[in-house]
Amino acid sequence: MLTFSEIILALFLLANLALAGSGRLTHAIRLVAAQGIAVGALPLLLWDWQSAGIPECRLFIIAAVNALVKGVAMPMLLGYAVRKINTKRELEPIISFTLSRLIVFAMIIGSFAIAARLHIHETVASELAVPVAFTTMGTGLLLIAARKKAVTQVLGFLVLENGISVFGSGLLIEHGIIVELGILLDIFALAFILGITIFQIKRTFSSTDTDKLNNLGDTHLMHPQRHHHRTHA
Amino acid sequence: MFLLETIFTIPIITVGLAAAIHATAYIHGEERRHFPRFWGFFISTILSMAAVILAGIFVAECELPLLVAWEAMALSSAGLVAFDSTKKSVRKATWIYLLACHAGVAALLLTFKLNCSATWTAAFFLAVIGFGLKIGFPPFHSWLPEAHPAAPAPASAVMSGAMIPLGFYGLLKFLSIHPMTLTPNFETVGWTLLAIGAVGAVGGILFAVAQTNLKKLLAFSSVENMGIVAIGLGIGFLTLSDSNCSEKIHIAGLCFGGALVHVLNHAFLKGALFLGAGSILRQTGTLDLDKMGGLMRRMPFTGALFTLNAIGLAGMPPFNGFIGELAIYISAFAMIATGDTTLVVAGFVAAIALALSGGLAVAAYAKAIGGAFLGLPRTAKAAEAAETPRRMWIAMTILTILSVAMIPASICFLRYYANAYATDALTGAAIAGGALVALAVALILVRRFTCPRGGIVTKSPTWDCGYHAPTARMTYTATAITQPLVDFFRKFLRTRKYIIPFKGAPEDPTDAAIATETDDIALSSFWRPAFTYIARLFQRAHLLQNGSLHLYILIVILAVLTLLAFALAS
Amino acid sequence: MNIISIIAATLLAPLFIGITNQTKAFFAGRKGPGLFRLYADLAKLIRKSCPRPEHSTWIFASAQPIALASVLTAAIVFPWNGPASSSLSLSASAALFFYLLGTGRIFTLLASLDAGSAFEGMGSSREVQFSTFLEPIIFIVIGFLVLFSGGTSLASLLSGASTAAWTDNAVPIALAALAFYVVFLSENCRVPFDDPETHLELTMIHEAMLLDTAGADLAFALYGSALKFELTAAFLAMMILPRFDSSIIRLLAVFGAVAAIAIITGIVESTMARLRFLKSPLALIGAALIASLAIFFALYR
Repeated sequence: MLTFSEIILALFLLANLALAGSGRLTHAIRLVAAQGIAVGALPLLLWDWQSAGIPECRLFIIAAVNALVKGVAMPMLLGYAVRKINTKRELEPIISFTLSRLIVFAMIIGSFAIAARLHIHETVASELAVPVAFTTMGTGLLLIAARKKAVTQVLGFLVLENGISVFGSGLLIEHGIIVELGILLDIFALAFILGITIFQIKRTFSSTDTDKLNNLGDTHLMHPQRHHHRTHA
Repeated sequence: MFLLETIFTIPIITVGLAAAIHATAYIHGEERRHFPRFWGFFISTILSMAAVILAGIFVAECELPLLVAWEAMALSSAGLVAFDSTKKSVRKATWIYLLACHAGVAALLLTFKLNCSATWTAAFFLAVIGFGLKIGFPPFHSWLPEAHPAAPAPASAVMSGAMIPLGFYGLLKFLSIHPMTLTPNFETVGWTLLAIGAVGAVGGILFAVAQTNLKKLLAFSSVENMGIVAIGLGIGFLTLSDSNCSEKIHIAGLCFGGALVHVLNHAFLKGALFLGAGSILRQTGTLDLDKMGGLMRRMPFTGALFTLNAIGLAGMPPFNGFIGELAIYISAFAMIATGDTTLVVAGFVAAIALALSGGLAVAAYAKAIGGAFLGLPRTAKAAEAAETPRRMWIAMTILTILSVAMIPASICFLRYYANAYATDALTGAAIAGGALVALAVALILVRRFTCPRGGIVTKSPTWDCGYHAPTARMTYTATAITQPLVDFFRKFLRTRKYIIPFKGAPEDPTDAAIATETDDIALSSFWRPAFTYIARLFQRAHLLQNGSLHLYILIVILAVLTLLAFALAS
Repeated sequence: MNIISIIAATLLAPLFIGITNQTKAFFAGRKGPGLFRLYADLAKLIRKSCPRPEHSTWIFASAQPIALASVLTAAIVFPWNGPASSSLSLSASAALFFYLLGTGRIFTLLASLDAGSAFEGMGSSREVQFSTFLEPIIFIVIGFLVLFSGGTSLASLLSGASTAAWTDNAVPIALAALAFYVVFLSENCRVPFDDPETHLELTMIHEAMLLDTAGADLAFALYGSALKFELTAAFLAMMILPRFDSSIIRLLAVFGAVAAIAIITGIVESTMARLRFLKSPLALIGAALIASLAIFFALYR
């Protein structure tokens, strides 16, 4: 039977493909925000309403917190960062957008193959949750590894965390949600730290390219104004 | 009875006959002095191919005749390739061809040595290498784009249409020797052939798209078509390997039948195309598609026959090339419909490889037809070309008539061979093809009636956005037609571009030009480095060959002693 | 019954182009040329003679009738009435249907090369590139339909799922339909791949190939592309629509859906910019990935 959770999970895969191939930072943030809200809603969608009745109040609170933090707060913070540092695009990804998209696609194939081998059909709430979770985690790692801008790397962490959440809610792990809230806190702290770091990098080097950190001590950094023109011309 | 033998004999007779008629006019002028040499090798090639067929019948009892005939076929066709031996490129191509042939025979010797139940799998892979060197399985296809442009066109036609498919004959005969051992190995055989076929079909036609030499393009297209045959055979074996498919005999029959029909279709179509390429070479003196153009008006018969055969080989209905591909498509869909994971994956691989190679084939043949026959002539020689002697296009006509006859013939054959499975789809395709032709004729008549003055048309210069004096340099060249595709696959094709900048004034860039060259990736990235490495390895053996007679004698004595010790020990 | 459907389909084809154009006119705030503009154009063009480039050959002279004949054959083969169609369309394979469209394409291509103009060469070289990328996507979608319906003929592929199967597989069907809609846009040379409005510009594909085509030949070409638009839209519609008991209601539903697709296409064309040519193959690869996702979803259950 068709369920909303299935549609949400299919959209998750499409969002992963889009994220891997998107160079516009605001676009990517919007995609991650949508994923975040979906992650929040997922435990409620996977709940067996007919036989298990109305779930505990805890589930609602957790869903709301998840959706608010991942779908609203963090994207707003990142959107603010993007506006503040005035970078719109990921210009020179380490792995090209086309190749990233193909890699994500290969991850999808791999995740479906692995999930089919695991034989966990009986225990999961939705058969699709496991492969989708694997793919999402992989996409997050890819974003962290293959992009240069600090903002995109924070997005990568968020996507990774989204994948973990899907895995947790898909497998209906009893205390998974508690563990996950811990991770969420970590990520939130991380986002703050990275946000602050981004501003610092930006203020010092007039660029948020983490690659530039490798060049610390180079002579051209003595003239931040000139460098600024070169990167944003 | 003798179905396989019959199917593989038909191209030898028909393509051989057409090529012989073509050759009487193809070899002209000075070259006629070498007539005896050409006919000697030509006839011995045909005879040795017939001998291969005969020896194949008895291969289960004794494999030696097959090997002898195989070697005779290789040597006599090498004589054909070397016909124009004054050219260095021809001599080089002959060496590559001889090397490929002998490597093949070496692999086949081992194959038949190992062919028992215990070492059957090893024997099978050796057979794939041995026969694959003749068929042109990737990466063993490297001799094809070298030998075909070097050989005279009638020889290329025979080699491509009749000789290459004999590799499949050999492979099928090898598989039939130990049917008991074969049955549990259906899956290995199927996946091997499917993988090789898919790579060959897509890769072969991709390299064909990038070529500007007409015969190289046709040679790579042979790799594609043999890949399609291998796909058909591969999914046939995979279907047979499935234990819980109720219709497997029928689906497999359709796969094998489609592959065999495609062998015949390819023989007739490709034979005619190689003969056409020969006619162009004889009349214009070049095989470079960028130096032709506008030949349809100068060589109307050759042009029309080449166009029909090329569209047929691109697999377009209503031409015969479509029927074999359709049979393989239908069986691939039938495999997907079973829902069994192995068959579904195999069916998808087959269907996607066929679709991709079909799309690329359209590009390759649009390039060949457009570059050679359409537009304006780009060189003086192309502008002065005249129609060939009648014999040459009659030879092409014979093969084209056979191609047309293949449409009903292949449907009858598949109906019989696949036990009437899905034959209504094939018949439907033939009827649709007939409807297409009838509708086209009807529409041409409609145009004649509705147009004023009975559709008599006015001729005007080509409209070029206000510029009223279009020249041949403005028409798209063969290279330009496929440039976007070639650029898209540049990482794989590694096409080299030679840009010749203009020397004169910047406002007159008439002498600027660009040329591209695409080498066979297997030759440039695998075989050449491999052989260089082996050569370097054997450099070390030069230590032994230092001119000192004492050392040589010592080596001989040591060798004799070792052999003695070996003999005594065992 | 089937013959009546085929005649209805061939008569209605220019109307759907009119719907798309009228939608675009609405979004642009224009009055628009009216729904029946193409009929009038065709009636005018068919009575005109065909001037031809002076060095063109029989290929140019016969290409447009052959191209239209192949699209018409595809319309005959198409199962307008579902499994209750006549024997020819009942047995036709999906491969035949798309290869017939391919025959039309190769003749248009050759005619444009025959004219020998640089612009037509440009159009044909792009057409060659795009059709190469389209072919695998089409066959992935067909493969999905085969997997889903369990039949191999075009009629059984497009017979529509029963309500239960339809709701069960809504996600993969939607993914496959999305991929095929991209194919539809590219195959019919619509925005974002090509712009049917930009006559005589360097930015186009299909129109560029017809620069030297005039008179009755142009009528054939325009009608052929309208019919192809209708056929591919009907294929998409039959993929999405669930099964109907009555074949008349089904046919009406299909034509309704085709009209809806025409309106959607008009909206897409009004709201989207044309992609850069270098980006278009990437968009097609994206469609191929989405079509493959549909298969994973269908296989994984």
